[in-house]
Amino acid sequence: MTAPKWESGKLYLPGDIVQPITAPAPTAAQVVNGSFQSGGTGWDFTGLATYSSTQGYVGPGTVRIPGGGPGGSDDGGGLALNHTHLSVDPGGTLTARCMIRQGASDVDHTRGWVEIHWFNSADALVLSEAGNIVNDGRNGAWLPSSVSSTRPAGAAYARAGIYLWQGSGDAVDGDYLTVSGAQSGLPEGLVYKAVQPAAGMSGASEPAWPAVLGVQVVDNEVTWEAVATNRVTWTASPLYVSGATEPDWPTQPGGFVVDGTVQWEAVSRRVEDENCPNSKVVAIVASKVFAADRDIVRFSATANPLDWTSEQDAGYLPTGLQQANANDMAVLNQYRGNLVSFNASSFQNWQADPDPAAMAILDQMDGIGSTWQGAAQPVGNELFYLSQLGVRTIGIANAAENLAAGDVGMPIDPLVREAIKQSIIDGTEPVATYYPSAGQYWLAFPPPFEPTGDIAITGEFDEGTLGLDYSSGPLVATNAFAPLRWSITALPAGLTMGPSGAITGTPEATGTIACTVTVTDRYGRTASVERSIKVVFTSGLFVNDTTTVYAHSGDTAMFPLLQTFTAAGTGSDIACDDGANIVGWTRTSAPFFQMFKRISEVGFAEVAPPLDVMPTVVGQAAITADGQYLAVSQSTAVWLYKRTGDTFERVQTVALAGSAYNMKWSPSGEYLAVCHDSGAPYLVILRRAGDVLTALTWTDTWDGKGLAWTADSTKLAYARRTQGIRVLSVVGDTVTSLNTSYASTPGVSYVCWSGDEQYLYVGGNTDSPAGVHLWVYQWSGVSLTRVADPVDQPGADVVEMSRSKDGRVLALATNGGGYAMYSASGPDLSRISPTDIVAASGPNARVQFFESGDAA
Amino acid sequence: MSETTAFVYSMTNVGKVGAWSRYVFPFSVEAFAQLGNDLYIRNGDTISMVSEEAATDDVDGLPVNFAGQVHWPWLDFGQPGVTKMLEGFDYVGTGQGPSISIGYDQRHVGTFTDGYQLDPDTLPGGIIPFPVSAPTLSVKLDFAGGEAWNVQSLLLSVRDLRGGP
Repeated sequence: MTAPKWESGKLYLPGDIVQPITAPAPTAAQVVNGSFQSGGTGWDFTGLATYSSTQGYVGPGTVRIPGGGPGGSDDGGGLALNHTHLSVDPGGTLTARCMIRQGASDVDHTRGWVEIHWFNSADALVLSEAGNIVNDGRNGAWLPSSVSSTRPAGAAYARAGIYLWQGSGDAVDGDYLTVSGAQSGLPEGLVYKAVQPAAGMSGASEPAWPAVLGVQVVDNEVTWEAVATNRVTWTASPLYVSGATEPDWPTQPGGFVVDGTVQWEAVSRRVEDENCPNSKVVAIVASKVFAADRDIVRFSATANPLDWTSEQDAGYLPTGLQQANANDMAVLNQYRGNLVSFNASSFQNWQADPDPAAMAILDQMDGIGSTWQGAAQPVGNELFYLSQLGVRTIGIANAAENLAAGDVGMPIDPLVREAIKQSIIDGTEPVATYYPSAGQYWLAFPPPFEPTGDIAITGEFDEGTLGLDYSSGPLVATNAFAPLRWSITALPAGLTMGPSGAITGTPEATGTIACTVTVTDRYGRTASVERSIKVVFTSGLFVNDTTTVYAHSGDTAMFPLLQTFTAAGTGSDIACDDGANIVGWTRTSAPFFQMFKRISEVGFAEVAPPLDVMPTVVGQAAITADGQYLAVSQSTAVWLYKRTGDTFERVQTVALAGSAYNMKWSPSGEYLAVCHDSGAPYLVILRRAGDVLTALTWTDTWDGKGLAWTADSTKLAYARRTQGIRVLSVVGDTVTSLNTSYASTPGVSYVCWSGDEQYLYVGGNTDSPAGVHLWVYQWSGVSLTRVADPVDQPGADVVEMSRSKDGRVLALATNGGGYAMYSASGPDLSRISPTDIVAASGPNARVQFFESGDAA
Repeated sequence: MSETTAFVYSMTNVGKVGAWSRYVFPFSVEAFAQLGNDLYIRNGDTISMVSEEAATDDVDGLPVNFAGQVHWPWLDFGQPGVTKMLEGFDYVGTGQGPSISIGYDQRHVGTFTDGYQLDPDTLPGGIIPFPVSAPTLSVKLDFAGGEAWNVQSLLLSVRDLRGGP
């Protein structure tokens, strides 16, 4: 405890606390003269107890009751109390011990014990406690007596003593008094408190400070009492301790991470008020922060730049309403306590005030403008700013309150304009300051940037698809500085290059276009690379009129012509593999069969001779999806050919009951469905094992023309003209009919599954009702239900149908009505009109889709 | 090279007349700051203080002179288009003396006479003869640097040749 030192002759008020200059002598930890070495000094003898020089326990002296014989006048007891004041901590325990010698030979003729007496600060007895009684000391033995006593409340010190008693005339001695538990020094934190009732003067010399707690000493008019200070010992212990390793810090404001016993939250250092524009055009005026926000100037709450929203404190200046142009505010600064704002072509002077209601526009001038925030500086009585022409000023005109413009920078205008031009190119801004100590305005332009190295162009343009939206690029120009200008020497039809260098549009023709792409950066540096843009098609389409097959490429509504194949004679049927590497064309006259091979992405060439044994009668043809097998109907038979290189070798002949109307391979190439006229079974399903076709057991009841397999080759739709449509399950060698009701719309001739195989598109050889030749049926798995007829109908009977492999386009050939194309999606068929398909159609018109594939 | 061009407008109390100077710093001036009466310039982690006393650059701890130039525009010295005869001049300055060059063909702005080294003050004694004839003249004073200099005045003696011999 910190307390002033005692001073002589000083006025002390009751309650004052001092520390002694000279500390009191430490208290004793042991009684003095406890073994009577110094005779009876330091002892109080009461009762019959006296000092005796009799040989004691350790020295020549004891406390004794001599005893005068039984019934003598000295029967009784007495106490020898040692003078030593023993100090014990509050709550502490003092232990006293002494030795007793009974002079008599009989037990209990005498007694003796040790005692502890507790006194308060006024020396009044508070408590006394006695130790064990020694009443046997026969043969002169010394026996101990001891007692332990806890300091009672109100006790200031203790004294120890020896009590003796005799009742038979025998002598009894006590000696060797010792204690333990007493303090050896001053009580901890002992100070002295003035306890006199009124203020008094201290004496001339320092009093003898009592070393015992509660004991008083008089110091002239002051009475000091030894008191103990109360002390509180605080131990610091950490509430939050970080972990042994650095946590994985969250990167978004509001994110938390635990680190030992600490939980950290990521907070933003930005001003997060949504009305703060966070622009770099800033000025501090009237205890507010002003910041440009497009054509207005927002300001924060007074003396709180974090608040941009509080009503009647934060707000904005409607600078955009004070000008006759649409430029954004670009420069803010202060001039003579007012806020000045520039945009590229006007100047405004606003009275700024902590109270938004007191803000008002003071002056406005059009034709004075600046966009260089860093260059504006109040300089003496004027405001310097940087215009496009050079350094200019705004200042109060002589003898007027109006502002006037000045052209202080005119002598260096050419130099400054050149620097401005370079800064604009570099995208940098000058900085300025006013240096009052030298009376100088400094305007420093950043160093001009000097690009080094060449521009490199990397990347390729994506491949485009005919008829589909295209977007690719721009290519990547490294070591080039924006803004970049791109150019290209050639593009596929339908595509254009935009300012960013990206190419967009819808390709209108297939092929590969070589081009040179050039980029120019803002420093005028250029680089060029040679590139190419390839346009492919997803689906190809063969259509034929009587003497010509037309190969088209395309997607959606765009089917430009690739090539035509012409031969003498009338065409009958077209067959091709999925990738259309091989195209077969049956003829009604010799040579009866022609074959064409894909030799490029968009080119075909005739293969001659195509077959080792040529058919001699007009017939149908079908090629497996992989192009390895060809089936051709020859009168009432089917000839199976196997491909070897560019030629097909006949490997089997299968007899039919009639002439084939139509033939379709399953997509897996395992089954060949053939429908024919002239009697049962009308529909023959042949299963191919290697080079051998075997007819499966199936007999139908009506002849038909339309055949359509599902993609998994397990279902076959069979259009039976007036007898409706049957859907067959073909698994292994087993053929079963899945439906029992055959949707017997008259004249169902040709069928085609929708892309999702939930619907059948059906073309008729008659119209029902009138004018309707195209119908849509929904397939439930066991039955077919006719849904709404397509609105756009082909103009004649349908004689063939084919669907693109991606399921998006359905092509129809009609008898005399030309070719019809539909965009197909489930039950929805919408007519599209590819303008490039010009072939006439007759009863032998055919359509056949194929995938773009690659040249084999 | 990252050189910053700084245009400095220095004001004088006499008639509110100011003059522009151009300084080229061999580094990028990114920001200004003032502390007390001193102006500081920042370039990355380097802070420089503007001092009138500095007459040399500090390059890697070694003093390197930097040149200075005072350049007048092309002046008519009388009626435009008439050839004038510069007979001589006197220069008054303090500190380092300059090298003077006279431009005599404003169509070719680099056409100047060779430099002639001057004392800091040539006023005592006669004028420095320097005959040049041209319709317009421009004067350049080039200071080598390394010590302070100050230009007080340049007095040109020009005679109009119109009607002369």
